[in-house]
Amino acid sequence: MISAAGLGKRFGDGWVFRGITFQLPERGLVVVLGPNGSGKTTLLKILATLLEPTEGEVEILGLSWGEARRRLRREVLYAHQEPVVLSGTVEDNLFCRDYDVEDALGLRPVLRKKAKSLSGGYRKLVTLARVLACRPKVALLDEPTAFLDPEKRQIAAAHIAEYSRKNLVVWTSHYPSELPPAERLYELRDGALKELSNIR
Amino acid sequence: MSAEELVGIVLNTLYVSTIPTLFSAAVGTPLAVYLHLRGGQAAAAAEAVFNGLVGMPTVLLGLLLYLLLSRSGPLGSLQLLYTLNAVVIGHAVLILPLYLSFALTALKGVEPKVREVVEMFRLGHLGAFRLYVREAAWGLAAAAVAAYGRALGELGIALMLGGDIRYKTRVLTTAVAHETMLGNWDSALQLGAVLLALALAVSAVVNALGFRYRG
Amino acid sequence: MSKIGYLIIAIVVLAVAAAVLYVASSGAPPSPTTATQATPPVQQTTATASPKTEATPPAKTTLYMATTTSVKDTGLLDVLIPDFERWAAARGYNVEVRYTAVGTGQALLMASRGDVDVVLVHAPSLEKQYLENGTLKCRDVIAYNFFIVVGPKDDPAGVRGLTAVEAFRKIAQAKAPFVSRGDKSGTHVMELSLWRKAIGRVPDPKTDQWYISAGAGMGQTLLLANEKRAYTLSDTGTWLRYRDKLPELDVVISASPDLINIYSFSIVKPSEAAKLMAQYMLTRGQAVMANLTIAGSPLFTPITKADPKAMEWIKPAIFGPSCVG
Repeated sequence: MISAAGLGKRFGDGWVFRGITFQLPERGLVVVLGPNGSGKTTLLKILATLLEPTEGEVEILGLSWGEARRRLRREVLYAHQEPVVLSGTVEDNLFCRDYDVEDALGLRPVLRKKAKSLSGGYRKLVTLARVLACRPKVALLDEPTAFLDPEKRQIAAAHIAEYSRKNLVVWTSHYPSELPPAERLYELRDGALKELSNIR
Repeated sequence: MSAEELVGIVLNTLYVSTIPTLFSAAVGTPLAVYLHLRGGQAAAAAEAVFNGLVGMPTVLLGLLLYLLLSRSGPLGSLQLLYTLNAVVIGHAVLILPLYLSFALTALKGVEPKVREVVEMFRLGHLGAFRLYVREAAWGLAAAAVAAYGRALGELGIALMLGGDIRYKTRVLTTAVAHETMLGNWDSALQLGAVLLALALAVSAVVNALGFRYRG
Repeated sequence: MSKIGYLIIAIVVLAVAAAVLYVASSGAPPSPTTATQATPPVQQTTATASPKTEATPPAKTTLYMATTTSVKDTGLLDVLIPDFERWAAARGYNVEVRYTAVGTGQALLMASRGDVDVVLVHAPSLEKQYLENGTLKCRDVIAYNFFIVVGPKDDPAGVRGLTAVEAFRKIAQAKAPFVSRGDKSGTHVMELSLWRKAIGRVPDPKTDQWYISAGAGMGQTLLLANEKRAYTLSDTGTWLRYRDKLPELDVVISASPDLINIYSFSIVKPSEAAKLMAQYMLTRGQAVMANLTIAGSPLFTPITKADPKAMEWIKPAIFGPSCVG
């Protein structure tokens, strides 16, 4: 589904990570842990074809990085760690409309409100909904429960877990507890990716 | 000066200020969005050129357009010189770089993550354009106001390309200059006040819209 | 978008529409003053084509005119041009005059480039050259007035009542402060020729400390002369208009033969409209020019009302074929 071999990314002088190799399943939840600055966001952005790898190979849904960037439409989507909210209402922020997703994430009551007037928690939900409502085959979620209060965290985690039954979800976090059960658990640390055994 | 003549001068002024502004916005906005999204050296070079053109002396621009539009010039057959349309053309050329410069700054104020969202969701050129215009709407409006104000207060172009012909191509700035030369300083000041009022009115309107929009 | 937002946009759209409509309609020909045999104004009807009788509106001619900033600054054109357009319309002609006011040299240069059809200037010596080289096809003197020399009320150089040349000589001798327009305008050119006649050269601001080159229009120059209590050469019109702002100055020389300023109308590209304008200048235009006054003083003396003494001085400036008759 998504695989990488010898993947590396350098910004200027320093390597964020190097020699990353992995294979991700077609569906299920994959969690990537790592301290701040370890390159989780960079990795996800590469998989979303927003950033180009410096070295190594990536295969996304059977396509190379370049082909994926050119030919994929909305099969692979990335949700930013910090909420990204556009001008207009919550409705205007969603490029795809999906009643179930909006309902599951609790956005129905605020659909007509100006998105920028909402709290950080709701803004994060909007960022997530923007991705999930489009039903991508691969959802790359950068710390999806950040900014959420405990109640919203539960709601989001539940929906994401449900979503990962049919699609691949990659979830990054620097916070090991409070994670739903995952198929794979990785740790990105000091520029290397290590698979951890799934002991919970 | 009769009220009728004054109204005529004001309408002339509006004609040669708003049309170039609308033109600049219509042409400049897509161009600015394109340059902003393209990035790279070509875009940076273009931006440097526009910023430089803002400082072009109007006398030079007036001379160039005069040579272009005069009867012995290449576009002489259009008989545009000493009409308001020639002034519109002159003003449009004058304020386009200004609008572009301000618009690019406004677009830069839009957070970079928006670009990633645009790219990722494959919004396409039109979708990206509409999105960016919305995000930068406040800054773009300010750019339009700045461009309008520039055209409103411009004397050299209106004089060189319009001629300040009474009832035909007289606008507020040339009228102020004319009355000053004639020694009618009171009239000149009154006309100047009208000019300022027009400039402030537009600014006030845009501000009001901004408050409502930000909400 | 709120209701107020829509309202504001509606106002802006209306304002722009009004402006555009106004500008578009002012392109129509001026309505004639006498109704009887006047040609009907241009009617734009989308229905049937108008029947082709002799009531078809005349084609519009555009006349391009070059004149000087001094002429424009008298305010003459504001009255003369609209009056001519109405006069022409009453005679069945649909003429629009587009004029531009520039320096004398530039006006004649524009004539030689063929950018204009007619010129109205006041530099006979220059005009002679352009007549001889074929740029100007014909020429008529239409009016005159006098430059004046103004100076500090107490007249330190003692030039009152002299001729301009004599006065300039005395000013140079006394090294009395003198402000020049310094902008190559007609007035400036006249000033320079007077210096040459008076002291055989043109004063140099660097070596002649008393000579100030302003590089400005007439009004500015007068204000500067007022500040410095200096002498200067001026046209009557600007002096009359600025008089109440110039408490330090007074006229010291007027109506001297070497200060005569002769205005003429010349045709560059002969056409029916151009000839019509030439005719106007020597008929109705004369009355219009005579009526232009400031505080009761006329700015121009039309040629048809020239007094005999002035005519003596004007004669040498009459040359070349006439544009009328």
